[in-house]
Amino acid sequence: MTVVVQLIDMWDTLVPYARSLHKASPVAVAPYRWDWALWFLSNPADRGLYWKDMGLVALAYVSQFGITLFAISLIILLLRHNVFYLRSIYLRSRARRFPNRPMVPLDFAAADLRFGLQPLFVVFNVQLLMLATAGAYTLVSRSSNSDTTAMSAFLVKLTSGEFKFSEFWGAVFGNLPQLFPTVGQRIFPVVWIAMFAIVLLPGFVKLLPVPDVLREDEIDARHYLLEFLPPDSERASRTHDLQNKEDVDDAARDFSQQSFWPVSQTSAEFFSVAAFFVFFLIVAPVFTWHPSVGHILFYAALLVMSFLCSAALFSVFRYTLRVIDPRLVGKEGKEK
Amino acid sequence: VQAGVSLDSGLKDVSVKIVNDLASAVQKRLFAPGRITDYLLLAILAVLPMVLARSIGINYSHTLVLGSSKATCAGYWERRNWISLIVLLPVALWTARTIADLLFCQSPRFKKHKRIPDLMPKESEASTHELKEALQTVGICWLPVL
Repeated sequence: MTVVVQLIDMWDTLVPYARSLHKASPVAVAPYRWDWALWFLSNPADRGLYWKDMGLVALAYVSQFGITLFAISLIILLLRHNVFYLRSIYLRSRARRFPNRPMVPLDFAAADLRFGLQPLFVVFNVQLLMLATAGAYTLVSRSSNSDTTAMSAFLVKLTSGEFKFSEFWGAVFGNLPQLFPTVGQRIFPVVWIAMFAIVLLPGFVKLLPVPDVLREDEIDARHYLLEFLPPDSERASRTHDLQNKEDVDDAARDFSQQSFWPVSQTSAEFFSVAAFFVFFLIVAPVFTWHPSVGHILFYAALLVMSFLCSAALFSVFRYTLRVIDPRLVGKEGKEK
Repeated sequence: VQAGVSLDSGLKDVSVKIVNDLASAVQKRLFAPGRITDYLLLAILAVLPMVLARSIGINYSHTLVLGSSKATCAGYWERRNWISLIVLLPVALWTARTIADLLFCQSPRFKKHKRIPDLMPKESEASTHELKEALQTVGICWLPVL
């Protein structure tokens, strides 16, 4: 996988080398973004320079290969860990399929409002820290490589009254090659969203029984909640598998108060807003030491968009539970 | 025909095993708590292109006339994303190893932090130990059979 990503990233550099190799007398034409990797174009007839520059490219990209390898390995580690976490949560249907597999039963009445998973906070917080660090590195790379002059010019004109709204689309979509000058730069937003999805995976813990429950004829809070309760658990024994409506109501209320995410609901929502904000900045990395009012409005607009995206994401989570039974999301439809 | 199919499947098994073993070995080496020389070697690896760039004269930018127009070729030493690799490469390896250690209990360094198997019921302690082992293996190998 790392090799494929590396080859995609190197594609723009390798093509001129391949073309130049087959031409008897290559003509020097400066590429759109000319840098050290294609320095041999300064004197295409000099084959010595050609091979030395190729050596430089090979050496430099070996280092970059290392970074890509570490990053992808780390992303896969997080994916494995979080999938493992979701697979380790107790579900009755799972316990039937894998009777010998040890699982973690969720505690609906946990005082930590995280199903009793508070002790795991370090292993989940470290993922947030990693995502933040990766975001910082990505932003440095994006700001170094993308040309946002057109967007910046538009933002400066924004408050002067001279701008036309149609120019905004031109500044964004008319400048895609400048915003994403290499294939590697185009990969960044995709990788970021993938990482965000992986780090957010534990948030699906409340939705785990959805596929099993949807296959059943009777879909309600009782059947849904029983999936999480081991038959020998205190609540299941005391209530005879939630026989009474009051017991179901109590269990549903307790369930709705627990957080989607093991580190807490507030952290999850804050992290989600921050992740979307970084994503939008990765797409359009407009940075300046002297921001105009237009720039500040731009960042504010990105923040609003991030809040909306985050709210939409968590609404989907809540809506899925609401479809099963509104009691699963509590009276206000929101967890504490 | 049967012999051909069996040979094909045998070759496939062998190639999958080779890829699996190779990837596992790389992962194991990558995430095993390592020596300080690993980080030093990575920093040296990132310095080498700087030296080569200087030797061929493209450490700093040059403006030249190419064809009918002027063009500027950016130097290696002026590219923040490449220069930063001297620090980023060792830091990335250290981060990868530390996180692998923290999540998958590779060494006793983060013993006091709880992992998923620690929250499993006490009565399945033996299985929990097996699971912890499996979790470590899953963390290390690329193509695990879980």
